[in-house]
Amino acid sequence: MKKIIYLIAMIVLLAPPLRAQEKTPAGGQYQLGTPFEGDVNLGYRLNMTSGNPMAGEYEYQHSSVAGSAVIEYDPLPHRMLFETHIQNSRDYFGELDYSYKDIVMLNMASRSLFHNLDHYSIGRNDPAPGGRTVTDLDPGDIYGTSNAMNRFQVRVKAPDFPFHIFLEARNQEKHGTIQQRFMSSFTAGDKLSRSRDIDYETQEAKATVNSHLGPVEVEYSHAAKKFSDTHGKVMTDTSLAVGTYTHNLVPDLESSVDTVKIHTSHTGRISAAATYSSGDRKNTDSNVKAAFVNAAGDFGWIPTKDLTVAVKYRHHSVDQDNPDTISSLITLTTATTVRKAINYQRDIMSGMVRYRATERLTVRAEYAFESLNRDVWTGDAAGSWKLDDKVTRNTARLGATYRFTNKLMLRGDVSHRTAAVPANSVDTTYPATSDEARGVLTWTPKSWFNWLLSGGTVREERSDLQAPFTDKWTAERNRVLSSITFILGKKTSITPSYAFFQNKQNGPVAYSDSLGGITTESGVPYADTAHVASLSASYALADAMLFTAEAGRSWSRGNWQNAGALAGSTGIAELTSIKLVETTAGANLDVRYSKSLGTEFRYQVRKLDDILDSAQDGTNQIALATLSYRW
Amino acid sequence: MERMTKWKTWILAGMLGAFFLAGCAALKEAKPIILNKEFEKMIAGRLDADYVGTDNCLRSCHFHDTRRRDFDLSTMGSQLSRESGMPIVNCESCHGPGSLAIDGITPEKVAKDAKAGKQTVCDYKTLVDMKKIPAQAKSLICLKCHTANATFNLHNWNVSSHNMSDVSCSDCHNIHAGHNLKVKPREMTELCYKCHQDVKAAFSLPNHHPVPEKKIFCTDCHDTHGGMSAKNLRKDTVKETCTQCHPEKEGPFLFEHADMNEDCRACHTPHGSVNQHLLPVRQPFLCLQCHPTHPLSGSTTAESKQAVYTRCTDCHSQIHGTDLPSPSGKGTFVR
Repeated sequence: MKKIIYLIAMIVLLAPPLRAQEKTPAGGQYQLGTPFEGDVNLGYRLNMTSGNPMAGEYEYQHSSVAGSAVIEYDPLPHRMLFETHIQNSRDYFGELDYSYKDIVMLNMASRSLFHNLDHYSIGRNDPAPGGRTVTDLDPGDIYGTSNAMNRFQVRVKAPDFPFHIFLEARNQEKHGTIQQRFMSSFTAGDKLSRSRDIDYETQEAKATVNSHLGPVEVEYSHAAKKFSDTHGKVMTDTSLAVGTYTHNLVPDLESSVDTVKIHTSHTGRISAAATYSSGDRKNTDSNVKAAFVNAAGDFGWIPTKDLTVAVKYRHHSVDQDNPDTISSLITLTTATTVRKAINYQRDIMSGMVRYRATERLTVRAEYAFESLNRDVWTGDAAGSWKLDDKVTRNTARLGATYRFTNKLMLRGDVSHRTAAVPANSVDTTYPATSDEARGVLTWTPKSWFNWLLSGGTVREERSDLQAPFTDKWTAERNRVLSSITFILGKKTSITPSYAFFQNKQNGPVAYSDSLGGITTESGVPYADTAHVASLSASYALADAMLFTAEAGRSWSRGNWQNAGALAGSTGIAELTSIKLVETTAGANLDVRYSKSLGTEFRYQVRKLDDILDSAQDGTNQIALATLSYRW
Repeated sequence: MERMTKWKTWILAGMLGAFFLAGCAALKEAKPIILNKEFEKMIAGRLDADYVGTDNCLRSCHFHDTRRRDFDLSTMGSQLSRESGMPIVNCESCHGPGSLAIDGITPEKVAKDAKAGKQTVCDYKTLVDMKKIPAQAKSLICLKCHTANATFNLHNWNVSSHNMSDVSCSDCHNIHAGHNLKVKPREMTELCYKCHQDVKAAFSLPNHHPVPEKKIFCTDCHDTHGGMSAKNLRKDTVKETCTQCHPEKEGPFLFEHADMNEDCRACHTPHGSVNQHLLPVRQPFLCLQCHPTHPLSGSTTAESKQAVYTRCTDCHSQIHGTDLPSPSGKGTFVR
């Protein structure tokens, strides 16, 4: 796909400048003029990394030729737009749009990104008899994956009528090496780490047909998707005490879905839209099948120009069918009985009202009711699912936007949510109460001064926890953001910003000892915070010379701390503490020598300083110099 | 399965029937259930003005030549003809009838002004005042045509959070930015940040999706026009959105992580986090919230206890689902 896009782009690039000369406007009278515009940059990108490559987490650690191009060529009735940005063979973006009148529209896109991955330390080896062993079989390996995605889409429209046929194909490939951590001994609890090559491939196809039909418009689509790991879907270890040990299977997956959409005109006082989507997913390794339904209904009503009412209904259900036993091919030894999966149905009904009370004040109110019904299998004597059959949630939200003056505006929202979760439920993803408040203030007293201040807080609480706990679980998330922009004259702008994130939780932790006895510890605190300060500036050195720069630093820290209620558990949280300083800086100089010719110089650096583990420290620097030509 | 095939056949037959019906010229009109007259009045312009056409509008105004060129080169400007029966799109389609704006402007006056080196200015105050009309009325200018155009990316627009928060089409689509009205993905991020500064701040945390690096874009996950799921996600569910790029986690698996897998946000915060893997809370505390006990049996030393109460996914490495059972037969994601 990438080669096709660039081949077509080359034709687009080379042909038009010659033809473009034919349509130069004459005199002062309006003429359509040159249907060609192009901006091509070509140069070299230097990538330098010291220490941990995660300092440049999304940078492929190689220097290479780099460039970009944006080309529009519209010899009517044909139109073409090509855009590409290439950093190296693993980091690129390219997109080509072509249309013939409004009859045929074609879009081809290809892009790739490289992701450096962590190589974790998996803990301390315990050589004592009966202790857990921790072994990294490939301690020096560096991990990363490249992820390439290609898309081809064509739309054909009936002449002079909005009847469309869409055909879309997508392809995604992920290649690279990852760290596979796993438990190598179930009895001793030993841990192992190995390198693993992956070659994931995903293919998707979708066909859609839609049409305008007077009072309504209708669309039908069918989509299919297939995923496989072409390298080796399962890992096999033969050197372990358990004998041949298969683990960490990545199964082949298939899915398909049919969707029907219908909506009325969007322009009336009343509008409505409905969606019904039904599909199935299949795991071809374990033969698991799951059918799902997604449905939606929208109703909009604008009784007066100042009042808007919206009602939404959403439905989502999953019905998974597991085989009763697993084939011995993928089990340790013999066939194993499988417990039934949880099937569930989620329904959400919500209503929103927006009212423009005065020229300055707009208020919003929203209420939502959510019902989750799980089909939890009770046939398992061990009670492996400790989840509730039914959970309901009610959410009420109030919001307002007030414009004090044309230069000062305040927007705020408060919400209150309650969840009816049965007592002693293990499911803490549904806090019993959740309150949220947030606000944004924008102030532009002068054309050269702009201030944005925003903040928000969330408080969640959950009591009635599952035995043996008796106390409650609480969470608090706070954030503050302030950003000020100064525009100094016609040449300079400076924007200092500061953001603060805080996340605090408090809850019980339990340990079971060697005899099966349980020790609980109440009010174990967890917290993480981050301060992010940044400064960006731009300065026009001359009409044809623009300098921009930005710098930022973030301080992150977090930990949870148990009190050592169980003998020997003091310090067990040590490995989960975080204390990290990240520094980023960048500068860009854009110089135009003539209307056509210019250069760009860019430099950026990212430095990671892990205060607790110097093995994570690293610095990534990137320098780019390009020559540009514009038509 | 047979029922499903039958159902699909009916759908296809219905669509084909609709296609035949589509030949009827009368169907080319958009038919709102009840007209929104108040908004239509706002965007109709002066009722005592007449339509004069783009040529008349711009004859003396070369200030707008670039916009006119962009317009002519755009799909709207040159591909729709009066003969097509499709809505005609020109300057007055959005700005209202222009006769009062150019009233009194004669070719002689234009020539005289040009000789004096000045631009003949029209009375633009008689046109539709885009700055004063409500966002929903402003969107109606675009929807007049796009609602009748089988534009299904607007399917959920009317009840979308953007529409309900007074965001109009022109807040994102700069109609006069050039002849290609598509918002380019690489430019989209800065556009979103204009309102979503808190999201921009979250992306500056040490662990984030590569949006600041311009490797992925807001529109990879979000459809700004609204969608079936909350947060304007591009796909019907959170899981479908995430598995666009992480397909190996889609399942179904023999041993699923209950129904938590359907909403990845139960364990991940998508924009940015101080924690690795975009976890909202670090392990093991994240896991302990739902799994409040873990056996320390056999752990006689601090190191061994530490091995248990650390990064849970070191052992439970198939946390998104697995086909291989643990020794208990339950599937605790350890292999």
